[in-house]
Amino acid sequence: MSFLFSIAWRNVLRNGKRTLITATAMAVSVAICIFLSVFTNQFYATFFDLLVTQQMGHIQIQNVDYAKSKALHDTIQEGDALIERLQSLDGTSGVSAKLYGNVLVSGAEDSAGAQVIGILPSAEETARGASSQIIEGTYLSDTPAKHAIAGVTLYEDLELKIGEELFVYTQAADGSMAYDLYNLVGVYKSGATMLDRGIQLHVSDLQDLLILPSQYHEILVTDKEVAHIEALQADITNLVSADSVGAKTWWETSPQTKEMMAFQEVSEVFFLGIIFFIAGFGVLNTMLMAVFERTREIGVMMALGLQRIKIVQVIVIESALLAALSSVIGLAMGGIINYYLSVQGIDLSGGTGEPLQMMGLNFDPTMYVAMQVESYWVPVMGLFVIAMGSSLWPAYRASNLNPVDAIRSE
Amino acid sequence: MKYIQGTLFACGLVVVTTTPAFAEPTIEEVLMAADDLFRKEHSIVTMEMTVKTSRYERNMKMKAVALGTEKTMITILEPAKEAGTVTLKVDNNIWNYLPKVDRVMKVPAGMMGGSWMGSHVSNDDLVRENRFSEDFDAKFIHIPTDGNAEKIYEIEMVPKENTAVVWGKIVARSRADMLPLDVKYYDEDGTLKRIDKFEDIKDFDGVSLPTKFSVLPQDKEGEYTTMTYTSVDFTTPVSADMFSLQALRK
Repeated sequence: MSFLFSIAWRNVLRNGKRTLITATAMAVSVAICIFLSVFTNQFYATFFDLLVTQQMGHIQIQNVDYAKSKALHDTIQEGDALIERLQSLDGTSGVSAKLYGNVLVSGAEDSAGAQVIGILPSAEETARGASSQIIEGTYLSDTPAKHAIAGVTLYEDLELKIGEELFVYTQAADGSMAYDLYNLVGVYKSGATMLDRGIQLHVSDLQDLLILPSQYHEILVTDKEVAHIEALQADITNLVSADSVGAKTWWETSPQTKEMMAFQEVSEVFFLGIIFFIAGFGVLNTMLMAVFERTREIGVMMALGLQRIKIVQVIVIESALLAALSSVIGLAMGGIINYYLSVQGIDLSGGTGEPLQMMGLNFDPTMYVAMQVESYWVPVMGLFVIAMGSSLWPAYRASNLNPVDAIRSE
Repeated sequence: MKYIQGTLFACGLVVVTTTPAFAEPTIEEVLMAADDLFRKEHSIVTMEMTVKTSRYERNMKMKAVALGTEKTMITILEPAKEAGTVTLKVDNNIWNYLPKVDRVMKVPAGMMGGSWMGSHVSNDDLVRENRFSEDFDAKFIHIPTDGNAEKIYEIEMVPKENTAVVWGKIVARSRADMLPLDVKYYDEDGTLKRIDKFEDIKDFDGVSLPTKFSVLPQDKEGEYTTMTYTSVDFTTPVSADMFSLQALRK
């Protein structure tokens, strides 16, 4: 075996220029694959974090009728007690709760229909850094003080001013007229159209307004470990005593998000496939050339009694050595790219420095790619499979040579 | 629609005279009689409103002061939490005075379809000026005659083409003396959606009036809104100055 190995190694070195060109091409393929892989992984991880972890929560608890009815009265009863119990669950890393309503909002100048969301200010801050979306004024304080923050679109449409009293009017859950004044303390810009047209209050203030004491439309739970969501869901289901309340995982709530995440994997495989398909032809060409050049030599080896299977082995080992060489170079290049992106980041804003807004999510203008050594092995494995696979045909051809004809050839 | 507005906002002064046997009234006259019942110079009425829905029951007491049908002011007396809330209707506009924040709010166009005070009556119902006869083709489907067992007028109204009316058909019934009995509203598929009922006819200074008005939405089982007059005063004069935004705050 070591004898075959040394023959193969000698052949790799024999045409150094050709080997280097092929190895470089394959190494670049590996590096591109590593780049694509770490980039899309990071992008979808960011996407998951923004959409699922921060906004949807890993597990959503709602009144079972609410998803369909969106009715004011389809709430989770005794929500405060439930929130406390959820917070003390083992797997829970965060609990936020929301109450929704549709109201008429009037400023000094004008009024408009808007969605109001009652939030737990500190929970929103922990979950998604809500205060960083404040572009003017301040965020809501943790004690209910009849303060309001307004979405930037509403703020501009109604020509509101920080410090003015917002008049909010709607119908409470008991059918009575509900209205009150709230001091506008801040303006937020979330990038999500619906949110930016609405206002947010401390959930206690909104519960008072709508006469829904300790009631919520939505309680969102995030898990410490994304892999344990189903176990946490089971724990929560046991915890929730009322039949009217259900806990759903994020993929049950939003199958389309799940599909989108699955599409990432498919598209990655697709691109890797294309790149390696091209790289495979390079290997095929190199090995065919190598076999063609050495027809006479192979003929001699056969005439000296080398088994045909050994000929095949030599060619395949040659390919593997080429792949190994390419991998080393490719891993080095990929690693350098990955490191560079982890330090310098990728500009998603197209040079504007503005956050990238996509599907109502705000991506930071610069995305820093984590070092993902664990995702390097796929391109390397792919490279070996392709290199060795595409060496089979040249190997087969070599092993099928007639020694007499081969020796005579030029 | 006019019925509701009338019921809520004014009580008729005109003594409804029984139709002479020799002259059958026209459809217009029957419909107008119902309208005119509530279309009066001025009135001060107190009433109780009960709203029953699948989720809540509300009982309110209110006072309604009206001048003609164009100007009406309703003040909530009970429950205490909402006492002092005033609804002002002038022509097609509605304002609410909200005592807790000392503020007058004009009900915006987008909320006119919404419920008034949590009842089954919408803000639109309060102001709609369309007379049945203008938007609808009306025909008698039943006329009280001597040999007829049922002493009622029954009128079917189908909206004219190109009128913005939500109903597919309306059937109104009035007694032989032209006091309204009930109105049934059908959607475009012919499904009964809502019944308005007029009951408990009482005499006020020689004026006969139904004193109980109910809205029964047919697509919400067990739900209803009922308004019952507890007093009717046609004599105390009402000043036009009352119906201003300034006056609302007082």
